Amino acid sequence: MTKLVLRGFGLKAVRFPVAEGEAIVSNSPISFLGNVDPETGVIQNHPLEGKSIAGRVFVFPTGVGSTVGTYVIINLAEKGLAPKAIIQRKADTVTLIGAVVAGIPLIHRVTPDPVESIRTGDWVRVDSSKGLIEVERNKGGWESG
Amino acid sequence: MYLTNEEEKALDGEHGEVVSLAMRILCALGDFFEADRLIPVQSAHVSGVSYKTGGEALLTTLRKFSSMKAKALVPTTLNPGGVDLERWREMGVEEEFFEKQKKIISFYTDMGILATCSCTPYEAGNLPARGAHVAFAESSAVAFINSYLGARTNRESGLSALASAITGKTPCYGLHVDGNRRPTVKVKVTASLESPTHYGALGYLIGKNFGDAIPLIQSGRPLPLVEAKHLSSAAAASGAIALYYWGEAPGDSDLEKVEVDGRSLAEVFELFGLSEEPEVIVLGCPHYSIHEMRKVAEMVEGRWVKTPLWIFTSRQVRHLGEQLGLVQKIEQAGGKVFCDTCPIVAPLKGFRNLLTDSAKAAHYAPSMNKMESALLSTDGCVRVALRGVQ
Repeated sequence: MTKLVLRGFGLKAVRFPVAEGEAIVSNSPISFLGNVDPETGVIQNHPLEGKSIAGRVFVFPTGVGSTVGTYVIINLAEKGLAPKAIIQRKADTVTLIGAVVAGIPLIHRVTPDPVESIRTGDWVRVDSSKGLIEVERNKGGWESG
Repeated sequence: MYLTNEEEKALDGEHGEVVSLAMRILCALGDFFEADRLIPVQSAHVSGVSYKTGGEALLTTLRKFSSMKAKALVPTTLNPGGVDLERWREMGVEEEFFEKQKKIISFYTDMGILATCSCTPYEAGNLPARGAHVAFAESSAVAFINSYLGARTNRESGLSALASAITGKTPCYGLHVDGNRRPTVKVKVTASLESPTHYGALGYLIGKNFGDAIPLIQSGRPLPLVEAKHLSSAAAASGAIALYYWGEAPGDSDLEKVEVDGRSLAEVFELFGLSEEPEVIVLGCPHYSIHEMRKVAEMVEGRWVKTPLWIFTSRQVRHLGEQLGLVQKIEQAGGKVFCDTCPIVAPLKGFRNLLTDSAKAAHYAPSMNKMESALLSTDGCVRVALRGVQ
């Protein structure tokens, strides 16, 4: 098992800044309204169609589309289906406010690029108070990626 | 982020519990994006109104704000909800949905927010001037007022716009700062822009390819109001465009240049398509202006639509359309003119697919309405409505 450390800028206004879970990584942006089913946390009309973000560490470039996406995140959180943590190349207000209200650790402006260096299935631990991300990969290691 | 003594007191609850909650949201936002301070806003526009898109989380959030006696400190308008508040039965909406929708709107009204229920607040009196700092949610209105009016707002979440309405403040970062408003890419349009829908298709392409860039778009053509609405709404739906320039912009030298030709614009139309004949024709995303309504009224006058034709607009424009006899012409031809809601946030019951003149509506239909969608100019849409299923 190998480990990679990434550093970025984290959201401090969250009660529990440390979280861990399996990564789900999207190469394309997300509109929470439309791209995520608020009842199930499953992605739709998007290259990751059918995959769930519930209980995962959700890695994606940035948020796009509707400004109502915040309420999709809060709806998921109230059902226990929110992501454990969010990692973005560049944060957007719609996602950030959802994270603030739902208490989801969020990190952005990460080096190296999280969308390139984290893979779906990696085990990811974040500490958003320090902007710290630790990634563990079970299969293949870092050399092959 | 630096806070004045007065703002510190507000954060600590001296101006009440709800102001403190709103300040906490704005401070989280400002600290995260490294704003240096809070600045006053002249007005706000709040999204998060339809029960369909906001769900129980929206009701819970608003109940909380309402129980703490939240009041808007600056003039604030509201986005569309999920139904026409007068003609909801004609939309096939169930009573339970209607009751929840009414409750949501009454929470906002209790806060002193004007229930304009439109995505075009700038056509209903919330018209910020060049340089004015405001807090707008509704992605299409954000792009419109930054680009067309020269006002200043970030792409606010429905909830951060509400926090700004309550405090009269927003964190000073992003598009509130001069240096962040320069264009970042130049888009040279050689495609012919034949209709407002083509401007929508252009916006769709720009949003898809450039995400949250600030494009300078050069086409050699003017940008009238209706065309600007279509361009703004589509660019903010497929991407996160909050500001664009049309024709010229400050500091536009040395920009990466991209060309949009007729072929690439045609490809946007080809992204959408129906496997069967259209079951409903949906116009008015963003909410129709009076000019668009007149055009449709003239096309259908004295005729009969064979496919349902639903037009969405603000209550204000509907009233004007009634006074000018336009709504009557459309409805005598079998069309319907709804307000307070829109094709994306209404449940749209009873149809399996839709045809629209709006790139934004076509984009959201598969996910928000579980419907296939096709994109055609307004002329094309109305001709199909009059022709009916072959």
